Amino acid sequence: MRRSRNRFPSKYLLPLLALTALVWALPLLMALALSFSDASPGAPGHWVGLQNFVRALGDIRFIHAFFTGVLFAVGAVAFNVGAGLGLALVFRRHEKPRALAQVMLLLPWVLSELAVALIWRDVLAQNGGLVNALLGRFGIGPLPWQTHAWLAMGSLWLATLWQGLAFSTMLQMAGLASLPHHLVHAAKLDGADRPLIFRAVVWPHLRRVLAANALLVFLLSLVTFSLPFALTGGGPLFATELPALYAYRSAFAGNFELGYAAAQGMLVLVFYAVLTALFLRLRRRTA
Amino acid sequence: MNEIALVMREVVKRFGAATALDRFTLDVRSGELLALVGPSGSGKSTALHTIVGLHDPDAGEITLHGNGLVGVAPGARDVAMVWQDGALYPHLTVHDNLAFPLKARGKWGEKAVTHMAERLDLLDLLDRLPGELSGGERQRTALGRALIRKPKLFLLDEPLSSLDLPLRERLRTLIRELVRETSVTTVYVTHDQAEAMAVGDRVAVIRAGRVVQAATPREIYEKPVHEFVARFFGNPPMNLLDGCIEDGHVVGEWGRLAIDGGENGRTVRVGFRPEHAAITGEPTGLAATLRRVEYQGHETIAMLLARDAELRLRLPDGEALPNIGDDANLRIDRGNLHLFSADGARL
Amino acid sequence: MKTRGAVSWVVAGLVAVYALVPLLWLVRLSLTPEIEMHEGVLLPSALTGAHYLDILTDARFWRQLVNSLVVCGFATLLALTLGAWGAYGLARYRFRWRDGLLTALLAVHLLPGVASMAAVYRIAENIGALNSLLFVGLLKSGGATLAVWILVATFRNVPERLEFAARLDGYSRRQTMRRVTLPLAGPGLLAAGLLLFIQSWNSFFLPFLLLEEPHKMTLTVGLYRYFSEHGFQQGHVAAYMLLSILPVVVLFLLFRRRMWRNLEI
Repeated sequence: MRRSRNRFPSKYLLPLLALTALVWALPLLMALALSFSDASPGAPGHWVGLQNFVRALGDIRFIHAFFTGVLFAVGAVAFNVGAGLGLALVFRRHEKPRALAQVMLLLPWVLSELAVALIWRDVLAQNGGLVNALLGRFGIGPLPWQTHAWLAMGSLWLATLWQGLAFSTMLQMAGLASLPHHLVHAAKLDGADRPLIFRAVVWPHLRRVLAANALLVFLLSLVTFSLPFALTGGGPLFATELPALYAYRSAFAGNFELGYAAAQGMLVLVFYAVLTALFLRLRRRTA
Repeated sequence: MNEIALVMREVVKRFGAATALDRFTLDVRSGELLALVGPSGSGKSTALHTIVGLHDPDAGEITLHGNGLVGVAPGARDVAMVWQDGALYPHLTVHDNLAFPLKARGKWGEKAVTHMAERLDLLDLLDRLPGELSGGERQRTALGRALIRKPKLFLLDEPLSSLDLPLRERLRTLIRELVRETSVTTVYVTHDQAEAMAVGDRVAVIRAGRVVQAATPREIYEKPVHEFVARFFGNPPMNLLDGCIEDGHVVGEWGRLAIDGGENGRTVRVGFRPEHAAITGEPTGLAATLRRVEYQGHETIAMLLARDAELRLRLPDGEALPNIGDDANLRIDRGNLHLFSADGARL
Repeated sequence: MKTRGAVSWVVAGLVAVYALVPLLWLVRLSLTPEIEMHEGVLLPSALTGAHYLDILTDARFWRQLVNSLVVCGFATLLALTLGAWGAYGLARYRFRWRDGLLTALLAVHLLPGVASMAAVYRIAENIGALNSLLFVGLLKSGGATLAVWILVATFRNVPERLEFAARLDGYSRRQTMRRVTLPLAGPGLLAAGLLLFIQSWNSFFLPFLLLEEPHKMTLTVGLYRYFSEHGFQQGHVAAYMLLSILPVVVLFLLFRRRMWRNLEI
């Protein structure tokens, strides 16, 4: 304690940083190396330069997977953030209903993504699934959740909303709670009407929370594996094949190309970096 | 009681560009309770922190019974401390808080804990957690924890500042008794001048990181070595008037006061305490207009204006006062006048 | 105001239905006798524990449970130890890029798993760690960086003055850590540990990739295996699923309040 409290605490931080480097950084470096090779499981492979990247950018299935992923992520953002905000607004002043909803939503949150996928696979099964059975009661014909492209995507959205709503709601509630009320009061005293108060005081604050929430949900949704893998299997016919799924199949099915899968991963990583950089730049500019 | 226990010589401590201790020098005698007093930010807590080992000084020496303390681990200094907020271990009961220091040294004995608890009237509270105690009970526990291992030096950093008045008095007395009983050398930091004078065998006044005067309370009060010390003690503070020495008087716009000695022509400040001035009928050299009167029960505080100088007097109750707005003649014994040079030092 | 209150209750009700019904459906499936499975009845006429019995008497299930415990126990212990150790340094020392480092540690979790999936497999291949539970546990201990956030806040809440008081009382740094800092950080450590455990228990992608041998699989991977082999046996799959998520749900319900309070930091 007598030594300077301003220097880097290497004794405490080095083990953690070493672990982080080992678990996070090392695999990424290896991935970079792999992406320049034609390795496959069990075989080391040779240097092939940028071949994998060029191929990926021209691979219709990769492009399709990427945009399918973007579609899924955008939808996930719309539903999660939207519903999260909606719930936060509805429950803002009502503690008991909020507590009820929160507890209920936490159960799906603690499940594994795999379990969520399998559960919804059952719930949305075309024959004997819960939803179709209920709909049947109302005379609505069984919906083809597995065989119709948009319904399959919808099933992904339903499942991810089910699991992620707790998080988004919590985030939005925190955002609303940290709204600077004194500014709202001051504006009211100054005679501002509701739309103006919203535009000038509420929105700028809310915007930041929404943006952060949206980015997080987007980044996490785009690369999800368990959900498309276990819920739809990428079907029907690649309609829900997300990037992680295609990369997995490139590496461990089809032609067993580890190098190609690594290159796909790298491209996604680059996209992530660009997106995050843009986000931070935008945030700084509008601060 | 006369042997010096703690010596601090020319201690310097800087924090970035600010100097907290500026060649701080102080001797504390063995077994005495020294009150270290000064305004906020004067460096008194920093002084304690260097003694106890929270910070190491940039320069200077600190020795306790001849052993240097600088660079020694806090636990090895045999110094104990009580803070304003008690700093009790919140997860331990009162009993365990008291026993904690003993267990570290392997000198753990149930009797010691019981004895201390008894002395501090904590026997009924031994199973309570700090969160369940009142402010006074917490501070008593803190005192017990500090003294239970019979340290060579006992430090207190504003221990009573967060307590209310009646409690403060009781604990003040308790602290004095404990120090007396155990003869532990004690440094007691406070910003309250009245508390310092009530508690300390000697008082050391610190200002801007330096000790201005260290003496008995009486000496501090009656013979302040600097204008700063003079005004710091006493409530209301000493009245000061600017003037020039002329033929055995200090002369200013406000009038003249007779003094003993002094060089002619010297610019000085003359001071007198509120209780040392009386209002008389005959003209003296000093007249002032009565502006305001505050009734305090046993006495009255009168505020007067002598030209531009504001003066305060403490007058015993019952004494006849002129009306507000009238002039009054003030008489002060020469022996009760204090002279300070332009830079504040006593003459 | 009365109507506002009603609206929020209705919404809460809908949310509760959305949240619970799939789980209740799962429970229903797990208790429905095989014959009535596909009849489209909502509530079976009789409940059966046969599905559960079949799973619980299947040695594979227990093997996988043990494997999960090994992986998650190891991962949590490693992550908590290194994470707490690092968090203590981050909480007590004020160095220049501290905030940047904290953000970077958190940001690491946003890295797409797809980028490193192939590499992890290759590394495992090269060092012969395919089918190694400890290797998977090691990878999963990367969750430490997420736990660091909670742990830094936890240690910040332990006043430095108390640690100093203990030092002054004569305790060494290690003793102070053991007798003062850690006890006071207890709730935060528990919350972080629970989150780490749950996170590693639920993980699928990496264990699925790396643990190919049936007797090395964790419960989550085993669940998928079972599903792909016995998908048509909805009752069994449902029972398997409920049994595999049971530990997490139990832990969660037990420590919900504790966890929540620590997360609100």
